[in-house]
Order: sequence, then structure tokens, then C-alpha cells
Amino acid sequence: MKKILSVTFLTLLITVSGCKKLLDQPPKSQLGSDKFWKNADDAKAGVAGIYDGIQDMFNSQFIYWGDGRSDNLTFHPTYNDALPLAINVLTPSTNGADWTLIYTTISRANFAIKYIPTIPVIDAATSNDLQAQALSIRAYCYFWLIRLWGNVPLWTQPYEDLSTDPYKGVTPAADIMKNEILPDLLKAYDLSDKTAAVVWNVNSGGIAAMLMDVYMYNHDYANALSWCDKLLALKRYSLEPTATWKNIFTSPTNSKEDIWSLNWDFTVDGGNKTSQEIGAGDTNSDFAVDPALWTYFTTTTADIRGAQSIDFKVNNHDKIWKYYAPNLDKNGNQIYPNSPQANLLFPLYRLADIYLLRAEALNRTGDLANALVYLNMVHTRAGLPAYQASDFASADDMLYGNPVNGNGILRERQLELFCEAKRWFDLQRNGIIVSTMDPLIKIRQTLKGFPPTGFGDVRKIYWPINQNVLNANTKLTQNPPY
Amino acid sequence: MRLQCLIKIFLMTKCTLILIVISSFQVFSKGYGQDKININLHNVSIKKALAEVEKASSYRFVYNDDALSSKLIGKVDLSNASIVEVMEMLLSQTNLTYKLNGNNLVIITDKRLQSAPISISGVVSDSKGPLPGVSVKIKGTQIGVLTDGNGKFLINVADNNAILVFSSVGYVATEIPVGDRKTINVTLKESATDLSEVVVTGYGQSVAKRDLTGAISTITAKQIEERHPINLIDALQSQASGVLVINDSGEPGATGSIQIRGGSTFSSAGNAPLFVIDGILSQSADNVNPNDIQSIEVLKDAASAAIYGSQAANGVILITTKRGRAGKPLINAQYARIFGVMAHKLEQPNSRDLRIERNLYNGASPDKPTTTNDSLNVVFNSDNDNQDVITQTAKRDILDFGVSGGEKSVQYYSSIRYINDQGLIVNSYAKTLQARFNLDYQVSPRFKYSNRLSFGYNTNNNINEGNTINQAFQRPSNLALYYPDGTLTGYISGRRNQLSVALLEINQTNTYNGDLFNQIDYTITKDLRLTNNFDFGLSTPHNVFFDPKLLSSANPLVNSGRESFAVNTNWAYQGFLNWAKTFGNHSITAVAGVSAEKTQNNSFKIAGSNSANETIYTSNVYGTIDQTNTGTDAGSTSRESLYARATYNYKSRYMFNVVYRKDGSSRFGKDNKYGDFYGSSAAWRFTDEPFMGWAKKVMNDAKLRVNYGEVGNDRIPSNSNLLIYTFGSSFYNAVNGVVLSNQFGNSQLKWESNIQKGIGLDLQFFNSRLNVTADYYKKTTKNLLYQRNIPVETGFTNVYVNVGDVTNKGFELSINATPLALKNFNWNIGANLTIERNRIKSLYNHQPFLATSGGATYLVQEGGKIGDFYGYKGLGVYQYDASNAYDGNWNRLTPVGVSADGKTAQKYTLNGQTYSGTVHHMYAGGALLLGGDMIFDNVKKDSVIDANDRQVLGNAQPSFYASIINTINYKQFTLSFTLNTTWGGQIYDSPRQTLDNLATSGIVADNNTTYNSWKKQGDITDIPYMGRKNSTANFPGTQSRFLENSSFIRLSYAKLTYNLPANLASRYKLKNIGAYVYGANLLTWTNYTWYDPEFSSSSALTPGNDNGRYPRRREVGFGINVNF
Repeated sequence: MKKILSVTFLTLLITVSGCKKLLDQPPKSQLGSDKFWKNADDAKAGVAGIYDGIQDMFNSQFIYWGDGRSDNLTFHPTYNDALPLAINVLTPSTNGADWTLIYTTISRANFAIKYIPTIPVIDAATSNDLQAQALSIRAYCYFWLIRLWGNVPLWTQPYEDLSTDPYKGVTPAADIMKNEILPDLLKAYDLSDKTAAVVWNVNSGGIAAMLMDVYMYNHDYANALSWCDKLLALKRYSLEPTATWKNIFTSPTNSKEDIWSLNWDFTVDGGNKTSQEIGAGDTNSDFAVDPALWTYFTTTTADIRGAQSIDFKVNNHDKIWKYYAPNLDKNGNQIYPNSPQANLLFPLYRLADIYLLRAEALNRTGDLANALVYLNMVHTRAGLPAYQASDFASADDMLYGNPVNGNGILRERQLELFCEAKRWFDLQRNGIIVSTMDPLIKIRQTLKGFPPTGFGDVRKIYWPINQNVLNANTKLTQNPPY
Repeated sequence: MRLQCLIKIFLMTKCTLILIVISSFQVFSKGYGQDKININLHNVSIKKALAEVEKASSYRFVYNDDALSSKLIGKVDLSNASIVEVMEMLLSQTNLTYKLNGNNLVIITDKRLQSAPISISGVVSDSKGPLPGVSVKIKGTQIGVLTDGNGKFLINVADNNAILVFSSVGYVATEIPVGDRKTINVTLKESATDLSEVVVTGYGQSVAKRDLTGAISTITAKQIEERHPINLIDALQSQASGVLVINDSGEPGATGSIQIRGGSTFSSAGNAPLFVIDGILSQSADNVNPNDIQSIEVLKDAASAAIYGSQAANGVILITTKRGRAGKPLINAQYARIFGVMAHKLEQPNSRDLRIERNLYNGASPDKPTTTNDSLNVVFNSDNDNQDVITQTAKRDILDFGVSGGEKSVQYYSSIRYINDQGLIVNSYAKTLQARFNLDYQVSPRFKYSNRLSFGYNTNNNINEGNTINQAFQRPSNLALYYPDGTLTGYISGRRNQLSVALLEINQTNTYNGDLFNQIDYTITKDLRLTNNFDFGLSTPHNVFFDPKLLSSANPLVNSGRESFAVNTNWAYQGFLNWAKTFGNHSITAVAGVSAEKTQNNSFKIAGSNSANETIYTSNVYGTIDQTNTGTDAGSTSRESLYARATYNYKSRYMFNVVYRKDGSSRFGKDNKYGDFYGSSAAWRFTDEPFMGWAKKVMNDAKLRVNYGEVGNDRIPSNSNLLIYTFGSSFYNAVNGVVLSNQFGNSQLKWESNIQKGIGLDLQFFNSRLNVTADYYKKTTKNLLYQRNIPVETGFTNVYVNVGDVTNKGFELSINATPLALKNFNWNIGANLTIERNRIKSLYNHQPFLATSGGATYLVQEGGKIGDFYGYKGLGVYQYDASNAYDGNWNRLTPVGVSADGKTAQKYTLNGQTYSGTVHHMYAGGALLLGGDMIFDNVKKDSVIDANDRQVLGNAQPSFYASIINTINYKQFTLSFTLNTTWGGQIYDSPRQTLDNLATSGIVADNNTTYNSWKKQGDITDIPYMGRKNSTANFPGTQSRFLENSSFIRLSYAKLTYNLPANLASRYKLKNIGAYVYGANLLTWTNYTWYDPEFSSSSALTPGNDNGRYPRRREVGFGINVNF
């Protein structure tokens, strides 16, 4: 009996003592969070992850947010995907109403902002510049959020423990602007390495451009101009010549015009799905070019941007070939890559955008002469004759055009920055969304056989919140009037 | 309608059966026994005397009037006499004799008329040989003998009318009329429900079936043989109540799903049970050859399953494989060939239907003479039967060979099986090789060594149903499959060529798997045995996928492929002590032990394109590597456990069972790694109580069981308790980014627990000719493990939590009856009925959430059920434009005097009254709804049909499922067939939705839609107008139009076997030779319109979504079986 007991005891002992180790099975092809943010490589990899977040958030929504609701694009003649945007009947399930991927990017930035300073072995300049990138991207994300949804929840710390309440209500957009976006950007500019100039990263130029953009949104023209000055003082940027205009979009590293462009490499990260909205080889687009813009570009052949932005040969008017290098078949038709092989290198900030913003700021501050100078730099680069001061009877004429949207700064921005996610915010910043869109939506509704109700409730300037997002956070309420 | 009739008959039969049982009780309760008789008679006739005895006792007399002379008897005065004394006295002076019959019947006959006794001899045997100790009785008497060691018997019967009853425990009692034979050789059939049968309960323990305290169903090798099972699913389907087995039998190599006592969890691993194969815990039994199975035990209740603790929440299936028997080697060879045809071919639009459909789709008149495509182009002018060209007669060859045998100390069993399965879709196949070697070696009286060695090889071409069989419907029939030069076409008008895909796409998986199990049993004392075993398993799936250029949709065409390889290993150790002791009427058993196990998976995959050659599929041929789909993956999980069980049995009358297990798992946070599981059950054989003596003649055995237990579930992905950084898909500017997983890590994760209470009744009637088992249970799952949403603003989208309760209640009934057991004819019926009801009791924050699969959306909410379809309820189609009219409360108005264009009405009525208020209109997708648009139930009562108007439309779970298995033996023939039904659930017909929702321009709607849709103002139908293509308004999502009834009744298996008589077979030196014809899925009654209503679901929360599964076969085959 003793033997039995000892055998049993031994067996139990072996098993139980082995247990502690046996039950500890850490992930093998992934990494537990306690083992990351330990060195400079981790910091670089973590920040690359933040950029990857921007890729994801723009992957299929860039066009939906930036141009889809504007007078640049309309619904496709055959498909209905873009119809809710074109006639302003957004619902909580419309593509674009989901902010998940923006907050994923913010979360990655929050982790980086918290942990990069704790890394023991990293040189200070690298650490600071990486923090600058994380801070500025976080601010950039919130800037998108408040422009698209208004008041939104504010998270500036990483979420790391389930015992922390994950439910947060919204913070007023103005507070986010004041307490988060501006302080982050200013701090980022201070931390940034002024010698770093990689176009794919938010460098000091990108941060300055963002600050200018943000101050423009706040109608703080003095600060906008001052940050524009700082940007230009970097002396890195110049307008791409007319002949090589397309380089801005297809080869940002070879263009001095791009301030911050989004890198994309389908071979390692998959294709940019935005191609499915505006021109991929394997599917029809969701959108078509708005008829008025189509008419302008196809009839104003002197403007070199039309033929390089839109594929005039496609009957559905749904192929935007701005982002594609020419690749023609034997009949001279563009061969579009399939969406899994599409690289779309969005310029998020470029000098023409900055010049036109500067023109707008100068215009609003009464310096019409200089405003005209900056407007003409972009206008003439497109192959068009320069505007004369006499073309605009007033500052408003110069901004909004005379006739409205016939010329002027905002019109120039529309033509120059077509499908670069600027137009909707130009309309928003200048308070002309409803006046611009209402007549257009009525035309579209009539075309579709729907009652011409127009833009509808003015609060529809903001997007509805996606239903799943709402469901997941009980402290959120749907944006009225949705 | 026909279905309902059958059900009624089925129910009626059951009622009748119950009635018979009740009335039998009444007959036999009317007195029985050893009456003591008091009579005092003087000089009466014998007849009168017998009448007096009848009055004074419960005995009754049977006699022929002529036989009783009118002779008077003398004086008879007896008190407290037995019947024997009375009869001796009465008949002493006559030529009469008497016979006491079992039922207190006394038969009186004339001695002189009695014929001389007939002597009958013979041999009683079973399928394996002579049977000793079989009782041979003359029916209606107590006269009987037992067979000797060679199964021989000799008995004298009175006359030719005598009937011999052969009975033995474990065999079906058989009655044979003597007739004019002198020799009667009988082969007894093993009884399907044998109470002496041993039921394995795990960890070296087993219990006689009559002493079971839990709800355990047993399936024997014999029951399995009566099918022609390819896998465990075939073997198990319809065999046990409470076990829903869904057979995905169409696709080569496909299996199906097993769910025990309803769905009780949300976790993605679903509701699959735990498999224990020869003691080893396993997540799958796909590699077990069903012919190797000796028995399957399904542990349904928690008290039985609790010994398997954390993995037992969904029940446990114990599989015991065959062992060799001492004796001459037994060689078994078997070959079968089975043909399969498509059981349900679907209607498909031909090119004429297609032209009409295209016209309607484009808003034109149906008979507009042109087509949208060039009429001179050859590729647009075919008329193909797309379904036909990619399907073929399926063929299955099954070859089995096995040798078993042994001596006193060594027994071996070995088998090898090869299956070559060519599926219904061309180029789909599965080839399987399974081998097993079981060795038991008694080294010394105390020391036993056993091993179980299995090996499998599998290769199959996984045909993509979506791009072949579903594409056959989506691709217009006018598009050419071949160019005029005979080469296959690729994409035309955006639709792939399903034939090219079937023929040219390579998706081949080769898997080797092996398992090595060793066990040492050491008998320490007579009562105590120590067992140690170790198991090692390995599986290496290797997949090659390749699409040649022809299948490419890119411009220019590009080929692409991928290759993946994995090494999955697992080991497990178990050590336990078994103790058993009997003290007089008390017997006690106990087991206690420990176990540890670990599984490890390593895999890599490489994807690429621009292969330099289209006949070589390895990754070195790729011109470009697709880095997003290239990488490796690795992970491991482990468990350790402590367990114990004790049973107590008093005279098989009172039985108790207690179980405890402690489990540790690597999947949970460090403070929650261990969980405790326990169970207890008891049984009471009330027929053994003295007060039940009266019932014994009819109800041989009756037992009441109660059980209570708690088991667990740990099936969540490993590392769900950790916040994790992931690699490899977050590149930016050539930097390999590292990002957090969007699943948040919950360090508080613990076991999901499942508490089960049950009560059961086992009844046996008429010498075990009728067996009834009934069970009722209530299962409550607590701390439900599921992935819940977390506010996305945190940067994460979901997290595994332990919140929520689900309950399942169920009733199970199994009946096994042998209505006929004659010499040459034996008929056995097994029937099962299962009713399950599921309810979600609570959820995190009481928050409902949606689950989706294919076109189906499900609502998971408190008070709801798993599988509640959620969407828009269709109420028809607006007849006119003017029909879109409502009053202020959103009641629909009826237009009167509608104009010719349908746009205006002279007036509106509401409930027959003229309506004079404001007329409101309904909108959807931003548009005013017009004639031909869907009318959806306006749940929210507002002017728009949107997400707020969704409601629960139905449920996927059946209200009951049932089966009847008949086995009929006639001489050398055996016929077995299974009818099963699943009743009352619903299916979302996603492939039909894909055809009909007009979402993609190239897809053709089905003919029902083409011909019955709304076409012009005034049409009354429930299918919307095709020309407007208002997808937001008419196809907002899951809708009732595509929800169908899933009820079916199926003749699922049938097998007719003929075995050559043993004496004939032995002439050819064969032990047995038999041939059989086999059929599966022979007849199905259902109203479901896509291929088949029976299919398994990959996710626990989304049952009943048909994604366009591989079509089911109707199979007929033949086979031959030789033993020597």
C-alpha cells in the first residue's frame, strides 16, 4: 500500500509541479503588450502602425468623406452605392458613417504617445520626432472627426484595462479643437525634427500645413498666415511644373510640391480600396463625375488638369485616373489595375492647396492683391491665362466666383484638388454647403424620379453615426436629425 | 400536407403503443399468485366442481365439453389446498389430465387422446457461434431446458402445435412453432438494448447498462454496421435522442455537425461535443473509421460528462475501438461501390427566360425582340444547362480489409480502409486512407500493455461552391462555355465560367495524420488498478491553390496561387487509479487521477502570382510574392486536470454516482486558470421493490434516474486574455509596422459554466421486447463566453467576456421494440423523439446584438432564441403608384378609381369607409415608393422604411427532430432503414436572394421572379418590379421573402444484406460471405426550394443560413463482405 501511495504521490507531484510552466503558453506569432515599446525599433514599428491606421481609415472612405457628398461627384448611372450621398439621404448604415478606423488610429497614437517617452534606449531626436508624428496624427484624426460628426468622444489616453469605463459621451467639438488639436499640433511642431523631410511622414512641413488648415477652419486667418509663413520658410517646396503635374499624384518622392503624401504598396499591404470607388480594373466605380464639372473639363481643353484627372473615354464618367500613371492598351484606353493591385498615393497636403488657402486667408483679411498672386500661381500652372484684378468685383467674388462657382479661389480649389478630399471641407469652412448643394440635389432627385426635396435639414451637414458604433457605446446618441 | 399526415400517423402510433402498455397493466394487475382454495363438494358433476373452484379462486379452466364425462365425483372436502392438490383430487377417478398454464389457466384434456411426446433437438447460436445457457421453454408452460456448452438442446413437446421460446440475456427472445420438425436450429439476434451490456463511462470505468444513473445513449458496432457509414456522422445520425446530427453528405470529404441537447453557447467553436477516442480527449473524430468502432457512448447529462470537466459543456462522445479476440485470425474484406445523383436539381433560366429577364431588368417590355448583347457574337449566343455541365454521377469506392485475433495474452486488431470519392461536381474528389492497429498484451497477470496506433492520409480537391454550382445560376445561360475552337472561355460580361473553375482551379489539400497511444495497466491488488497512458498526435495539412490565367478577371490576365503547410501536434498524459470492491450487496467503485495535455500549431503560407508555368503549383514558380498573404502562424494551448469519481450500488436497486474535476487552462487569465466541475446522479430501480411485484410480468425493469452537474466550456481563441501586438499586415513606407489587435484582452476571463438538471425513466416491458427511455432536462449556461462589442472609440472593437445566460430545456424519448421475433423473421424498431427549447436569458448590459451570415441577419437579445432571423417583413407589392397611401396612423389606404397610369386615385377608403384626411406616403432609400415596390411592415410607424422597421421573422431551430430505424431479418436477409425528420425550423435562402436582389447587373433572377414579378400598374404579386432596381427600397437586407421552412422527412439510409448460410459459406472455407445493396437519402419530403434543408452551420449564432451548399446526393450502391 505504501508503494501505491508513493507512486500516486509521485505522479501527482510531477504533474502539479510541471503545471505552472505548462499553463503558461504565451503567444508565439504575436506579442504580449508587456513586451513591446522596449527600443527604438519598437518605436519606429509602432509609429508605422499609426500610418497604417491612416491607410485603413482612408482605404474605402476617403472619397465618401471628402468629395462624395460635394458637387464634385454624383451617383453612378447604374449603381446605387453613392445615391444616398448624392441626394443627401444618409443613414446610419451608409458607407462613411463608421468612425471606427479613425479611432483605431487615435488609439495607436495614444499608445505611442504614452510609451515612446518610456523607452530606455533611444536617441532623443528620434524619440521626439516620432512623438511629434504620433501627436500630429492624433490631432489630424480629431480634425477629421469634428468636421465630419461635430461633437465626438475624446480619448487621449490608451485604453489598457477593462476595469476602466470604456463608455464615453461626446466632447464639444470646440473643446476638442481648443484642448486637443491645437495643443497637440503646436507641441508636435516643437518636437519635430526640422531636418526630416520624408514626404510619406508628417514632418515639420506637414505639421505647419495642418496648423494652417486648422486655423483656416477656425477662421483665424492671422495664425493661418503665420503658419503658412513658417511652412514656406522651410524652403523645401515648390509647385510642380505644368508639364509634369501628374507627378504630384503618381510620384510624390519626385515632386517638390507634395508636403505629406500617403504611402501605399499593394505588394505588402494589399491594394487601396478607394480604387473601387473611383476607378479599378475589376469593378465599376461607386461614383460618377458631376455633369457640370464634366462639361467644364471636357470643354475647357486648355486646363491641363481635366484630361489628367478624369478618363474622358469612359461613358459612365466613373473613372478618375488622377492617381494612375498612364498605362494604355493598343486602342489608347487606360488599363486600370485591379483593386488588390491599386496604389493610390493621396497627397494629404501639397503646396497648391497651401497657396490657395493662403489666397483665401489673404482674401478674407483684405489683401486682395496678394490673394490674386497666389490664386494665379495655381491657375496659370494649369495652363490657363492669369486672372486680372478686374475679373472680381469684390473680395466675395474672388472667393466664391462671379458668377458663383464660375471662377475664383474656391473654384480653383475644386478644379485643382478634385478628389483629394478637400471640396466638402471648403464648402463647410465657408458655410456654403446648403446653398451649393440644395439646387444640385433637387436636380438629381428629379432625374431619379424622386420628389425634389433638396438638401433638407441643415444639421445634415454632419454625418450620422454608424449603427454598430452607436450600439457599442450606450453613452452615444445619434446625431440629429438622423 | 403530406408531411403533416405522416406526422399525425406517427403520433397516433405512439399513442396506441402507450395505450397497449396501460391496458396490459390492467389485465395483469387483476390477481395472480398462489391462491389457497377451500371447497366442500358432494356428488356434483366435474363441470359443476370446476365452476365452484373458479368461484373460489383466481384459476380459470379450459376444457373440451366432450372430454368431461357427466360423471359425478364423490365427496371432496379441502381447505387451504393448492390448485395441484385440488386437481389431483378431482381428476383422480377420471381419464383426464391437466396442465397449469402461466396465466392461472388450467387446461384439462383427456389422457387417452394425448399423443406421445415429440422430442425436438437442435443448436442455438448467434452470429459468432453456438450459444450455451440459452433457455428453451415450451410456450405457455414452465417446462424448459438450457442449452449445453455446444449450444445443443433436447426437449420433449406435447404436440406439433407447441411453440418453443428461446431466450437469453442480451438476445432477442425468439418464438418458433415446432410444426412437423424434429430438429430446430436457431440463430438468436443480439438485442439492441441489452441491459447486461457494459457502458463505458470513461477513465477505465464502465457500468452495466441496467445500473446507469446518467443519461447515456449507446450505439453498438452492430447498429453502425447496418448503415454504410463513411464517417462518424453517418454512423451516429438518428441513433440517439437528444443528439442532433447534421449530415453534409454531398461534398466529398465533408462531414457535418453533432449537437447534444441544443445550442448552449455563443463561442465561435460552436456547440460541438468533446470526443474521447479510446480515452484520449479530442476535438474531432473525423479520422476514425466507423468500422473500427466497437461502441459509441453519448454522455448527454452533466453528471456523466463532468468527469471531462471544462470541455464537456456540449456533451461528450466516447468512442471505443475494436479489440482482437483470442482465437483464430479473423480476416475481413469488404468492397462497396456507391453511385450518387443530384437529389434535387433546381430550375434554371434558359436563354429564352434570360432574354425576358434581361428585358425586365432593363425596364423594357418582356418580349422586346433584342438582347443587350451582340447577336452575332458567338460567346453571347449559347443556351447552356449550366448546372448540368458541371455535375456528374458521383462515385464512391470503399475498400476495407482487416485482420484480428490473438491468443490468451496477446490480442490484436488491425484494419485498413480506402475510400475514393468522386463528387457530384466535376473534378471534386476526396481520397482517404485510414489504418489502425490495436494491440493488447497481458505481460503478466498484473501487468497489461496496450497500444492504439492510427494513421490517416487524405487528399481532396475542395471545389469552391460559390464559383461553380452557385455561379451556374448566376451566369446567364447564353454565355458560351467554350469558344468555337473547343477551348474554355473565362470571364464573359463579368461572370466567371463555372466549368472552367471546376476543371482548372486547383485547391488540393493533402493531410497526413497519425496518433500513437500507449497504456500500461498495473493491477496492484485485486481491487486496485493503476493506469498510465500517453498519447501523441500529429497532423500535417498541406494545401495548394492555383488559378490559371483563364480564371483571372484582371486585365491583362494574371495567374495566382498560394501554398500553405502546417504541423499540428498534441500530447496528453493521463494517470489514474481504479478501485472496486463488493461487500455483500454493496458495491463501490472509485477512480481518481491526473492529466496534462498540450497542443501546438505551426503553419506557414506563401501566396503569389505571375507563375512562370501553369502546370507546376509550388511557390518557387511565382514571379511575384504576395506579402500580405505570406507568413507564418504559431500558437499553443495547454490544460492540466485532477479528477475523481465514486459510485455506490446496492443490489442494482439504489445507485449513486459523484464526480469531481479540477481543470486548469492556459486560455484564461492567471487568476482564473482553474475551474471546478462536479456532478452527481442517482438511480432507483423501483421494479425491484416488493410493492412492485405485481408489475413484474409485464414491466420487467423500471428505473428512475435523477442527475445534477456542472460542466464547463473553454473554447475561445487562445490569448483572448491578453492585449496583443500583431505583425505582418501593417507596412508603411517599407517599415514593418506593429499594431494592436482590435480584440481587447480580458485578463479576467474564466470558464463558461453549464449547469444541468435532469430526470429520466428507463422502462422495459415484455421480456425486453419493448424498451422506453424518457429524459427531461434543463441546462443553464452561465458566464457565457462571447465576443462582445466594446465602444470603438477605445481603439478596439470587441472583447471576450463572461456575461450572459442561456437556458435549454428538452424532452427526449427513445423507444426500442421488437414486435416480431420468430425463427426466420425478426423485426426491430428504434424510434427517437427530441424536443428542445432554447432561450437567451441575459446579455452584457442587456444589450442585444446582431450576427450575420451570408444574406441572413440574426438578432441576439434577452428573451429571444439563438437563431432568430431579423429583418424586414414583406407584406406584398404596391399594386399602383397610387397604392402608396396611408392615414395619419400609418394604416394603408385602399385607392378607388385609379387612373390608367396608376398615379392617381379618385378617392381612398379605409376599412371600407371613404377616407377624407391627409394622405401620407411611404419612402425608402430617400425615394417615394411606387407601384411595384415592396410593402414592408412599418414597425416604427413613420414615413420611412429603414433599419428601425426590422423585426424577428422566424427562427432556425427545429421544434423537434425524430427518427425511426427499422431492422428486419428474414432468414438470411437483413433490411435496415432509417427515416428521420427535422421539423419546424426556418432557413434563409441566401443563394436565391443573390439571384433575386438585382444587386449585380450580370446576375440573372430565377424564373419565379422573372415571370411573377410586378410588371405594370395593377399587377397583384409579392415580387417587386425588376426594372426600377430600387435596391435600397426593395432589398434593404434580410427579408421574409427569402425565409423558407426547413422541415423535412427523409428516408436517409437503407441497407439490404444477404448472408450466405453458415454451412454453405463454410463449404468455401469462409466464415461468412454477404452481399448488400445500400441507399442513402433515397426520398425527401420538403418544401425547401434550394438544394437541401439539411446542412451544418459554422457559427453557433448563425444557424440556418444556406450559403449555397454543395448539392446533396441520392445514393445507391452495392457491396460484398467476406470473413474467413
